[in-house]
Amino acid sequence: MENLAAKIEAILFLRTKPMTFKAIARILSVKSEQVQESVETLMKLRNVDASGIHILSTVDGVALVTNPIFGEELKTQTKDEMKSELTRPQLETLTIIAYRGPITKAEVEHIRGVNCSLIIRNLLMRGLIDERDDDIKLLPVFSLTTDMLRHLGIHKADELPDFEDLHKHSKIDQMLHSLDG
Amino acid sequence: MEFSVKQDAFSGPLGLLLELLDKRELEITDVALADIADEYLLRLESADVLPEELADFLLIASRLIYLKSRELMPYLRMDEEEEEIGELEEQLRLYRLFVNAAEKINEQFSNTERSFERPFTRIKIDQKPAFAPAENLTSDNLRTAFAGLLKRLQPFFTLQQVSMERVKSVEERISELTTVLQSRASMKFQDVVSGAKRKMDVVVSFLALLELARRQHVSVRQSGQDVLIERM
Repeated sequence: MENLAAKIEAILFLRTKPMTFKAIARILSVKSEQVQESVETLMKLRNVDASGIHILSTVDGVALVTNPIFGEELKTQTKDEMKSELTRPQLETLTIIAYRGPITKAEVEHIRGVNCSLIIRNLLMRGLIDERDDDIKLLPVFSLTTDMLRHLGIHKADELPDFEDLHKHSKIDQMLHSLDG
Repeated sequence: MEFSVKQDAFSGPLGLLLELLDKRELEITDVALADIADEYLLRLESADVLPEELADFLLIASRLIYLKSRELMPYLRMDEEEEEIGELEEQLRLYRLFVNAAEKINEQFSNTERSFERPFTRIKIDQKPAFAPAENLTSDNLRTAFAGLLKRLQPFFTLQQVSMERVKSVEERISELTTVLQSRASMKFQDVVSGAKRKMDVVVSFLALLELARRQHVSVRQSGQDVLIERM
């Protein structure tokens, strides 16, 4: 489809909130994979210093946002500011989900060595992670939301420091694999 | 949203272990873990642990106690436990990687570089309340959804099955021990568990012994490095 990237950008502008690749694919009558590819093209185009508008993408969705380098100047312009504290356990849980998402609750608990139910519920309520069904693992999996990416000032989870190291760590893979018993 | 991290007492049992090891500048080895067992238990006793986390703290406590007791009772060295200790050390190392990563993420929060969304504008529509089921609410979809749910619950059902098997075997063990005691006036715990192939067999035997003691069918006392079981 011609101009798919531009069409996606237009839809995001109109809808003003993050959308899943699936939803966009449905609107434009194309495949979800095509949307994902075009989003990557769009990101290369827009995520430059000269653009005021940037693109964020998560595991299954995309959002139109302001350029993160203007964070300081723009923060007075929006009521988005809420002083909120993260506890250390919440931060650690978030970190695990950030680097290893999409990940199940059991896997997170195996890494942390302690029950995470309340923490995960809290992070869900704050809109920092979201939950969806995974067809392979048959259990709900968690990953970062675009809200979380915004707060961190990054466009994608793989912009986190040392992302590849932790995301593809073979020992962690082994340890989590042993959970499947 | 601005983030600042509240300082908590400690973040889970692994967090506590790392804290104790770091304080004494120890590496993650089984000797070091045995060393900090007492301090771990002390901290656990005085801390406010959430009920849902207590089991996890106790699990680690049991591993540490096993490490300490390994030196006192060599004949209770069990392969399964050894494997779990190795896993614990690995788990600690990997957990530490994430603790370090969390630090970096924390720094990234204090960075003022961040993006904003356009505020969501809601278009007001006059809506009369009505029953509006989703288009895909068909009986087929309901059946598929339910089948999926049953599939997801399967591991839980299997677990219940296994638990029931275990309960049954304590009863069986009690009968077995009672039968043996009818022909022998006494025996040592070592005799009871000598044929044990798995850790679970030892646990079941121990539970059976406790029950027999409670029913006052046997008396138990320390005998050297073992336990003497006598018919009452």
